[in-house]
Amino acid sequence: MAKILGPVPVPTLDDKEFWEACNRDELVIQQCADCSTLRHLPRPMCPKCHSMRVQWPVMSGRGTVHSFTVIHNPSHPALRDQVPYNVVLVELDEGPRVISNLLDTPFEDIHIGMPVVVVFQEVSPGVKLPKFRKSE
Amino acid sequence: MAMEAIHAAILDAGLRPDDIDGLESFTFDPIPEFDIVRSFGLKNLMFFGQVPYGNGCGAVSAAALAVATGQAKHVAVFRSVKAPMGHAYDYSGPMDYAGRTQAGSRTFYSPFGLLTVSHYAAILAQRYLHKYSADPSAFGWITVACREHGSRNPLAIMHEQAITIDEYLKAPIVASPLRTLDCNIVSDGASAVIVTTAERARELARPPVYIMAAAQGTGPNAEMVTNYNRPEIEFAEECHYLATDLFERAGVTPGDVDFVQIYDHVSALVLLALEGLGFCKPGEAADFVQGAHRITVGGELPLNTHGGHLGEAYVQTMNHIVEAARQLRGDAAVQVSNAEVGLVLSGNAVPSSGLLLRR
Repeated sequence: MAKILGPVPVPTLDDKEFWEACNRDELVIQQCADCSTLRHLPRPMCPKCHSMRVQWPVMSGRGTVHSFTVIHNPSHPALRDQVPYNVVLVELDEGPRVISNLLDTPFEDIHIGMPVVVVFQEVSPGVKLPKFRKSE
Repeated sequence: MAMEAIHAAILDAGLRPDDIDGLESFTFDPIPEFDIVRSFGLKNLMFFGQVPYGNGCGAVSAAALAVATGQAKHVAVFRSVKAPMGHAYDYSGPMDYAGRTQAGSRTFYSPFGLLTVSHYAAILAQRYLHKYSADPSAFGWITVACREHGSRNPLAIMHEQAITIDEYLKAPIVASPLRTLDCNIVSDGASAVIVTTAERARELARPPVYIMAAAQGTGPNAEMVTNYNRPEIEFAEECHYLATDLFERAGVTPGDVDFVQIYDHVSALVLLALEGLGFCKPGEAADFVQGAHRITVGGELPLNTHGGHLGEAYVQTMNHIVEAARQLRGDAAVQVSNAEVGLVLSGNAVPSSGLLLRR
């Protein structure tokens, strides 16, 4: 049997720019090209001005842990060898919140309010994901 | 199971299968309308529909609209759940479902190992504990209350299986701060009710239960539990909006409610719902449920008096609606004395629906 790979993104018309930018080591967030409102998750229309023109500015990559969990049940076969693992909700300095994982951090050190910075990790050939590390 | 449940509801009402001319179920339900038509030998269904996100109250609401507008006379509302429902995660192949589920994009969550409703809810639960400096045992008291009720309900899967808070605290962590006992029972089960007009209901075999108001709500920036880009992720916006609407149109207040049946797939989300619905102020539900005295039968706000999804079975609140009807008719297994008004919440941290019912 082939090795079971972990879950990977399935880009759509709404979000492919996000995943393409990850492969360039850039964290981008969808923004209205008319009123400059940032929005996450990506969607076709600006919730403020209803413009459908979008751009994808590069974020600073800095933020803080807004919430987190440590997961013990392997809900996918590829994760059986990885539990327990953490999942963090990071509030970017620019405002939007993204789900990710915190690298190289013992569980007991993870806390809400912790400053973090993005790093890009190749999880599957040709697929990079934005992950985070503790920052000073 | 769907046929059994619908048949039981028809007979309980003193109707015959031929009287059913409408059907309302769930988008998650695998039973097609024509199977019901062929099984019961019905001549024609004048009305049928399905609601998303486990919205049993929304299904009852749609049925009520159908009978009120004359599109149907007697609508059977049902849900049958064969475990496991939804995504089966234990298949062996590269996962490619991300972003392809019916309930919206998962592609920003699955690749990071955030895969199930308990995982999604854990993020909300952790933030709740942090914001209000609450003790995680608060979640456990929800389960203790539901299991206490379930233990006294002969129909419950957890009949005669009450637990203590110490047993809860020894249960394994699924996704911190949530434990196995914070998650609903995985079960097979079905429930059904019949919705008709008040005039017709008064002619039927059993005392009617009246719909005072029905409401649905999404709140802003809604997702399926992963409502992470709201200003305050620990506040149940959908509950707030639908409850405001429910109480206003029914002309009652939370203080008038004798019991609540709340969608309890994850215990922690019941705390958020109690606050969003207006039964507790934000941050106060954790203290309110301590010891479970206030939320068990005999207390001021009995919760999930049949056991709910944590103690009876996981039927996506169709069983909560059936239990509300039993309470208001006075024939529940664990009866709230002199129950006059009850609230049911379907869906939790997703686009949701609610009912205020009276006897």
